[in-house]
Amino acid sequence: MIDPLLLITTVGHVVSSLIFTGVAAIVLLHDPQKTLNRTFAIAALSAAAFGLSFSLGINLPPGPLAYGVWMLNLIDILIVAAYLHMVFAVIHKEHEGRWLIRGVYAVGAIIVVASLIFPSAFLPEVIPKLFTKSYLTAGPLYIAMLLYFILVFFISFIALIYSYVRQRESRRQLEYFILATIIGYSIGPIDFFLVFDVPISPFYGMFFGLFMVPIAYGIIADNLMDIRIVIRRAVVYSLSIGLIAGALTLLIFLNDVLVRNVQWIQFWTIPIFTAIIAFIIARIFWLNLTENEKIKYEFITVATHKLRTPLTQIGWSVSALLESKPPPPTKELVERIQHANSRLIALTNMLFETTEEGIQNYTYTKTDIGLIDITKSALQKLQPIIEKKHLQINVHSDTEVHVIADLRRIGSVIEVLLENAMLYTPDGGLVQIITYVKGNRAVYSVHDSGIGVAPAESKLIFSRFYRTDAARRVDTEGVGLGLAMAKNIIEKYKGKIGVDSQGENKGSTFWFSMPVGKF
Amino acid sequence: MKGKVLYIEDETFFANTISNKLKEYGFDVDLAADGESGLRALTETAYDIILLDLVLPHIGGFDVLKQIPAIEKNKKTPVIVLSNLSSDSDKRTARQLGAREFYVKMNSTPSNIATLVISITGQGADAHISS
Repeated sequence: MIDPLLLITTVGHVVSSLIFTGVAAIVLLHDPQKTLNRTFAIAALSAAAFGLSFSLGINLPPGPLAYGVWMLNLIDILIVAAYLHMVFAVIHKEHEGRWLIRGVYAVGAIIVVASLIFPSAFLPEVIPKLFTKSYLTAGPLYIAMLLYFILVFFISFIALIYSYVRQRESRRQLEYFILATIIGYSIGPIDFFLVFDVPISPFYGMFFGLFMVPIAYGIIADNLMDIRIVIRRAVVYSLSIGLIAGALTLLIFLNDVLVRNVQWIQFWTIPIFTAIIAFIIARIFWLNLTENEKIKYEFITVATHKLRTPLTQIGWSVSALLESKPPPPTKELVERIQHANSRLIALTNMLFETTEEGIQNYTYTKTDIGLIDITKSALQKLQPIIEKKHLQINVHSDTEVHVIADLRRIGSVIEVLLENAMLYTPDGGLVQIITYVKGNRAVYSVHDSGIGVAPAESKLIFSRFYRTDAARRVDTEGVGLGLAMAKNIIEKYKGKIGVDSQGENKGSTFWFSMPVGKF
Repeated sequence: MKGKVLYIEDETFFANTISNKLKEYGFDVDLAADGESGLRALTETAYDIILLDLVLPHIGGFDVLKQIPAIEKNKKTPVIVLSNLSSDSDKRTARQLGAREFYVKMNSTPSNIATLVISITGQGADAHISS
């Protein structure tokens, strides 16, 4: 007869692994290009592999097979290394911390290789412990692994706290990661006590899988409008999943009774059942997310269409009024209405262009575009602001840089970057435009001496409707759509767009790169 | 001779504004409030130009465009689409169905539209000066 505790611990770890695999897949498919999503997937999949080898190991009697399976547990090194990498991606310190990240991976690899070369020094044997059929026993060097875990955890945690203290924006998102780190590291190491013969049951380790779910939601949802809503939803989701996991545990107890009393129920019945449940949960989770995005876009589409008729009526009435040559005081007021209406129309057009309907129905034409040439046209349009703010504009380029793309769209990208640089640079400031070819890519960058961008916000500012506090203070009229639109366009050409800034009030360099001569 | 214009538009405000504007330039303007009455007018009278909205009750603007080539009296009459739809695919479809121009109402003014009508028909401007 199977020990109920062994059964529950086994099934619990399997469920935990399934959850890890599910969230890894969801996060990775959501945006496979992002380091954050990739490192999350590596950490989650390593944790899934750890859980599976653990659940198999505790069911095997001591022997070469059990020992081999337990050795697979070394994958836990990758969980913490990838987790640290993910934390650095979240706080946007990947570049500054690249040597540390590489070092952590390297030390982890050394520990794994050393364990394989000198297994007896790390994991001399597997023996039955508590309710398990076999369990790891720590060798004299196993402590290196434990130290690695503790050290990498502290580095990740301190990096999060440091970033939290320094950062003014998106603090709630970090609070959330900090909380998840505490929970994860409180549950994660439970399985290790018994390795050192501390009689703490690995039973509780099965809840480890739950902590990654809210983080996954946080990553996927970071582009939504309000991070507070995201956190609230994430808490609701994690609690729901916790409740479902609790219900599954009860089912496992029931299964134990059923296995003993009902002949046709096998040991694998519940694992298959839980796999189906986990799949359904992941599916609902995914549909819910995409549904929210759809609703947002549909709302914008409807809003833009419904606004058009009244805006046109105002526009046409105003132009009729102006044509009737009203007396000066009335004329001034009517012109003010006309100006406000034109701004509303421009905003509605911009909103429409960011909707699915606007994006998908836009026909991209292919034109040979000279980036310097198009910059000059954009600068002409922006002449009023250049004069008003006494800005100094420098264009640096050895030769004209050509791309083959849609003239209007690339023109909008360049206008957005230039206008932003001008709006957010104080009077008398400097805006430098540099364009060159690097390999087979055209690079275009706009450097300004303006308000700058906090590191944590460098990716968020390319999200729709996102505006930094500093940007709101300087320009109250903006809506946070220009950069999102620019990102859409540049990515359409398999290009990249980004910002480099030393921080707030330290200026910024907005850049994009895209292939030369290809559509 | 004054140009004869048919404007198929369900919104009275737009219909009257454009109609008044074109009348100032000496055009003779007929209005139709939906696709069905628009098609009826096209079968009965030969026009110099057709102004057409796309979102119309019963028979939509695209369907009207499809049927115009089959109407003997107006099969060669130029059509200007005046709509608040603005996506590239709508513009493309309208052109494929024979529309000469596509004006987004929100981004135009009655004067722009009148100028376009004058340039396409080559009529009306003199009438305006003489009136």
